[in-house]
Amino acid sequence: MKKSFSLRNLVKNFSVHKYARIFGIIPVAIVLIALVVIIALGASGGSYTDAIGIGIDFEGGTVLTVRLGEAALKDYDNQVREITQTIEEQQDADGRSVRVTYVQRQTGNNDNNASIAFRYKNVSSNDERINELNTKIRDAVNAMYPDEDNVTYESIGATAAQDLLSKAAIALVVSVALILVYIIIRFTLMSGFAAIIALIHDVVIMFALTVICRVQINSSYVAAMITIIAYSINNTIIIFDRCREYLKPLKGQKNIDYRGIGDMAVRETFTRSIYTTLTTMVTVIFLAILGSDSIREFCVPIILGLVAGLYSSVCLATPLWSAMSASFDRTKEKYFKRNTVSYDKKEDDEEQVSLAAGDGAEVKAKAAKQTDQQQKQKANTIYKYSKKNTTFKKKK
Amino acid sequence: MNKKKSIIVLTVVSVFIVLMTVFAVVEFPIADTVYDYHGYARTIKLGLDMSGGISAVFRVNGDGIDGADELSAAVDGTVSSLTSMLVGKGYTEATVTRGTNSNGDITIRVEVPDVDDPERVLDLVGNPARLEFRSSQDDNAEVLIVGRDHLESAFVTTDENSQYAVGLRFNAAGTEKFAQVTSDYLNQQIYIYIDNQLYTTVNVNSTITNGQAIITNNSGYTYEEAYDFATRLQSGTFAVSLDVTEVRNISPTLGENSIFIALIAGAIGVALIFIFLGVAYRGLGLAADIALMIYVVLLLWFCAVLPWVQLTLPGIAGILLSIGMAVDANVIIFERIKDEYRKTSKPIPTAIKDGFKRSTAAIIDGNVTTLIGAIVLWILGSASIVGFAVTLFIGIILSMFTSLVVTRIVLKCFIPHNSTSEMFYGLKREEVQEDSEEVAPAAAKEAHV
Repeated sequence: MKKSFSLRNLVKNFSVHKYARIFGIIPVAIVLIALVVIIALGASGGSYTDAIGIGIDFEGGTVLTVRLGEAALKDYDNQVREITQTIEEQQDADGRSVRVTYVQRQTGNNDNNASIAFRYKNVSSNDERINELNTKIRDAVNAMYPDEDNVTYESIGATAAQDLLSKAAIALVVSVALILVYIIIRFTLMSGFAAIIALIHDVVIMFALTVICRVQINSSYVAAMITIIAYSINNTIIIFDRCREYLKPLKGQKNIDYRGIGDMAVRETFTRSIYTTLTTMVTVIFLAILGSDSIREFCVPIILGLVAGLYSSVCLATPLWSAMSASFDRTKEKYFKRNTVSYDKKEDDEEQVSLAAGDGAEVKAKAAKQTDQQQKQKANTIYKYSKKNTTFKKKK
Repeated sequence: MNKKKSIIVLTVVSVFIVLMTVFAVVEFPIADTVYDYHGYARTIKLGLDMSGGISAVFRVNGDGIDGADELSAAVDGTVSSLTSMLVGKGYTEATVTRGTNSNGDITIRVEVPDVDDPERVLDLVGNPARLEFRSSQDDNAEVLIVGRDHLESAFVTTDENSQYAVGLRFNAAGTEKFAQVTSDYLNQQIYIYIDNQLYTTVNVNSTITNGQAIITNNSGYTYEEAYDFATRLQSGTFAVSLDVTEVRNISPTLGENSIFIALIAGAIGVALIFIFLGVAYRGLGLAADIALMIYVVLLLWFCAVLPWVQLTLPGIAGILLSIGMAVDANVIIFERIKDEYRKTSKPIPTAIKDGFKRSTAAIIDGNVTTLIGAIVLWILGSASIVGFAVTLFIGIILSMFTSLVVTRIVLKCFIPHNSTSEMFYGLKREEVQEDSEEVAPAAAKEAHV
């Protein structure tokens, strides 16, 4: 029979552990691509902050004010579009051009003074170059309105508070530490580490994807990132809660089938993981579609981060947890009972190889069951884990 | 709960939702007063990026400061003093930026969201008061204390007669100098000058070593006068003088209609979530929809009444995230209820009860971790992050409350009416199958596709 990819079937028989290696490779690939992008752009453009996409809020830039009088009020949208186009068309000696980040209308007491302010990040760090390009832009915009001389520019520094990043970083480190402690208390040591690794993954991947998508990083990005961190940790916890529940009746057992438990937890929370991510994303997507460019710059990282968060909770956290828990148990066992030779490292390796090699051929079979069977063949001491067993215990 | 009681509870809940929604938007004059009632949703304070505000550009007057490096350091000092002064006065979202205009002059650009009449503060900043304590009224009198060098801050306070006064707090050097002056001139007079004009004369009655003093005048200040004077004194401590060159209204940085767009996106998103929950979970979803409505109106109300909330784009993110978590909590509960019903022979009410019981730990754990993050950000984050942390904090508390309490109450009210309707609750029993057979029917279904 051919491979079947209907969602229902996929979910029913899905084993994250089976594809754990592939799941591990994807994030590494994304980070590598981001690094290549940064290095390539950084080397050719000469500025690594540009390559990363640090925006005007952190770096400062130029405010170009165009005094238009009533036209700024009545014909705002058209004027903005035309002037933005003119600004972005101008190039400096190296052929680089600016990108307008914020557009604002400014009104005074008098309608004649109404003006539109355009903010953009400078493309060079050389003052002369900046001035050269700004003068060029000013002249070009002036040329659009031949009657008066009404364009001025002013260079501005970073608007984001200087301590925004450092304070946010400190707060993040402290909260991650506290969250780790909380998870260790409520769950297990290994759950805590697996959750934190998944969280670090989200931060890194979200950043990498932002770089690849060339989204500018401004002060709202910090909030977007914190949102994702909070969200992803919640996602992971829900899956670990299932694991915790299945582990409860097995407390004190040896050779617990963490992989089977992990797979089952992932499968049973799968609907919920998808629903939750989609319901959260729907509002952000509408905000991105309807909003201005600067709103989009905020929403796109969140959308990317939600995907990364879903990915890490489902595909990474659980395999990590099961692998870490299993090896933790083994180490503990080894430590306490040096005489008992209950496991053989070589055999374990072989199992992994056969799983990785057998990806294509064994898709149809239920993976968890398969793992169970394989292990049963190896050692009779392994506690066989199945749904029936838990329900029995729970009923009691 | 019997039928009658459940109908009463449901009626109360729906009346609450309707009233809260109406009061969120309506506007009417309050009888017998000059005040109008404004819908609470309209009174939510909005940040610079959502509703615009006032922008002022000050030209830096560097008279008396030699050398470019010294001037630059003085400007940076002024930027940070100005920022902390504005934050101290409640303009937490204010941005203060240093810049250079086309003439090469150093400028400081201040942008303040349009709440609490920022124009007045900006005017006062451009009109600083230079404070001096002098030994006599002669032209060659010794200047004992200078505001710019010795004053740390000025604030509104009250004197012993509970009249408004301006409090002065000296910096380290100022505290030392002030202690010395008050001991040197004990039982003598010192003269307080503001902008080279005699402002008041003080009898020194005791030596003051704690670096605090208050200024009053004979007739007493009104609060407004004290506030203005304190602000001008505070501005006088800046390392450079600032001349206002322009004050303008500015539109939101996120675009003209950003708040409208956010509302539309929010409304569409929430509407889709309501429909989705109703379709996916039927009666359970309906209960969740009711709980979510309560969540939304309560969230708006808290955002309006809590003083720390100033809605900016990050704040909106906090709200979006907490709505997501509120929906999430409901989904977790309903999936559990479905599981309970599918795998056992429990009747619907028991399945619902057990579903809640067994998902509570997961929901609380998930929310507490996020709550930890929100609290840490609230305490340690900078001003603009605090807005995010506060909305997130409120959102999570409300999300736990609505999903664990409101949804449960509403479902309890549903049960007496249709406790056996699988159709209404969207629940199904699992057909009993052996493990080995499970693969075959699934594969057979595939063949049809």
